[in-house]
Amino acid sequence: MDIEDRIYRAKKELKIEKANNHILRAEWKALTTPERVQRLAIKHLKMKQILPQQLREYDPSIFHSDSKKQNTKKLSKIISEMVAEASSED
Amino acid sequence: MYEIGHNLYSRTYRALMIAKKRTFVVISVFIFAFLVLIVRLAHVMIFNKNDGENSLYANAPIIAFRADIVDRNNNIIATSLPTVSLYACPHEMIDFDEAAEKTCAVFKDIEKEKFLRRLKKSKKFLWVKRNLSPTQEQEILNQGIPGFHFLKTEKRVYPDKNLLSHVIGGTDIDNNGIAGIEKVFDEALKSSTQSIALSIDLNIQHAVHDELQKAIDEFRAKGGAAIVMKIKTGEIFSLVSLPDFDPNRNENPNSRERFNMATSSAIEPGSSAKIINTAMALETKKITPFSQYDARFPIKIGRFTIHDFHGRGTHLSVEEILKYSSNIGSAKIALDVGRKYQKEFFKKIGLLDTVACELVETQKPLYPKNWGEVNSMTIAFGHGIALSPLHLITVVSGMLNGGMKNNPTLLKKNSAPSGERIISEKTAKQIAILMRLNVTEGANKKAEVKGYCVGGKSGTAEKLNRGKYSKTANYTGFIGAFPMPNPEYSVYVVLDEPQATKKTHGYRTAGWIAAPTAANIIQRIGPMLNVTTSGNREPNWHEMLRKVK
Repeated sequence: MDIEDRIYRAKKELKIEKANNHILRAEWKALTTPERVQRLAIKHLKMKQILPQQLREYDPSIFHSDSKKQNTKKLSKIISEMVAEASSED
Repeated sequence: MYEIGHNLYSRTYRALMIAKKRTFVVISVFIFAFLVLIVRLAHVMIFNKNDGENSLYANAPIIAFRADIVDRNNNIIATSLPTVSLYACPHEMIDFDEAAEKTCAVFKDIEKEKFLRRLKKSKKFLWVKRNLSPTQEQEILNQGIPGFHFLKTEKRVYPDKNLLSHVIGGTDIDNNGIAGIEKVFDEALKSSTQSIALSIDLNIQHAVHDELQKAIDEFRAKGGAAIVMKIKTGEIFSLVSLPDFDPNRNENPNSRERFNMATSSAIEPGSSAKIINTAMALETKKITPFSQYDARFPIKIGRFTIHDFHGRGTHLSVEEILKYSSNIGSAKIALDVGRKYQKEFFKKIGLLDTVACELVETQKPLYPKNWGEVNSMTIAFGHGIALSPLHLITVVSGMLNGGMKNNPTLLKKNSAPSGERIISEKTAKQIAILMRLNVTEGANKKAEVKGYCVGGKSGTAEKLNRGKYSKTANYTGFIGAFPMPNPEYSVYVVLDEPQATKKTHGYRTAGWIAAPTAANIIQRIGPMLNVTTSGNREPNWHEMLRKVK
């Protein structure tokens, strides 16, 4: 088989794979539409809507301490506060 | 004898010569014909590498697919898939009756009698079915009907179905854009393979669509529209108009669902226009948020009377006029400012020109030709002027971005607006605070979202029915932004003819219907947009208002 023939075949295969990839991408998209994901999540998972209170701006001044332990302690305190706040919503 | 013999000889000789010539001609014709065949065979078998192609598929020209449309995060919104279409050549067919029967066995929606009539009428070409599914294609192949051929085609696919109907618009059966983005960028989509990235965020679009649909169901509204805009860039993150349609089906181009309420309708903003009226007053530099107006008595002009729905019967400051949504106070402000200045201001902030994002479906603002004194006063509280929802959110977002003219867009971009200034920075800051005060202390407490400082103003307008205001049908809207005082996103919601429910205590005004809908939207999209909360800390807005420079 001469080199030109191999190039020709490779190009052709590439074209077919690209077309297949395109179709798979479309299929993946059809399976992950927000509407479908929401419907399935409600049906199978016990998840709740994220509330604004669950997002906090990162404030580096809270973590001024050099001790890793203390920083972790502070962080876990903030998180438990946020969880308590969010669960009091229901 | 000899004479005769010679004669005989020469005759035979001549006949032989003629026969020889004829044989030569015949042989050369055959050689030529076989040569042509050999060349053609060589062409097909050696040089043409199109192996494995089924002869049922006509040699279609190579299709350059229509380019994709994607959202801001590169999620597919519209794409093209290869399909096959089936056509018949009646002059090649043997038995029409049998062919029709076999066709109807595969396609349940084709009626045999009708199809037979169409077959007999057309001579050379007839579309049997466009865009077959792979199963249908195989079934037709199994039937083996002579005279039936396939053509490779492409089909435009919208996996999200109704979600973006009005933004996308759609294409016709020949893949020409007929509305929305597909129409505006028809040439670009056809000529290049480069996909077009929209400013829309699919997840936000879904959340807004979902919440608006819930509100329409709850209040039994005829329809509604909602827009979410990034204030700094004018990018439209979500644009929903309900009822909507599935762009995958090319049908009913003139139905009610096709109407884009968000960009093509003319709706009176009602009290929402008081934001604009207040900004106009503050721009004069003579009026401050604390200037007092007498709002004790209804204003009578000719046959018109302007009242307040929740009259306070006192003097009101500009801040209170907005907060308590006083029509009398707003009209007095307009009188004080003067109608010449009012019209100039409206022109300057772009209220009198058509606002266009990329869509062709736009609506010119409607306003009186003769801007009289009565018009001036009613326009102050949002009656007598009508705008599309996109127009109103564009103008208000322009005031909240620091006062620069806002150019709404449906395309993803990063640059800040480069328009001219419409209001001063000071007024812009004051307006943001006043909008927040309206939610914390004024008529729109239902718009509050825990964690975000939402600011906004609702507006109710009676629908125009044959030139007369209807007493029973109205539009209820809410224009808001969050988080104040430096808002990142603005939201506009409007519902068409909502009905009162038990929960709204019999009211069908915007404060009870549109404001909570906007709050639901903001609560849902805020975390998705990574807008962080202020915690429970809330600044002293009154003090902030006094200190604005």
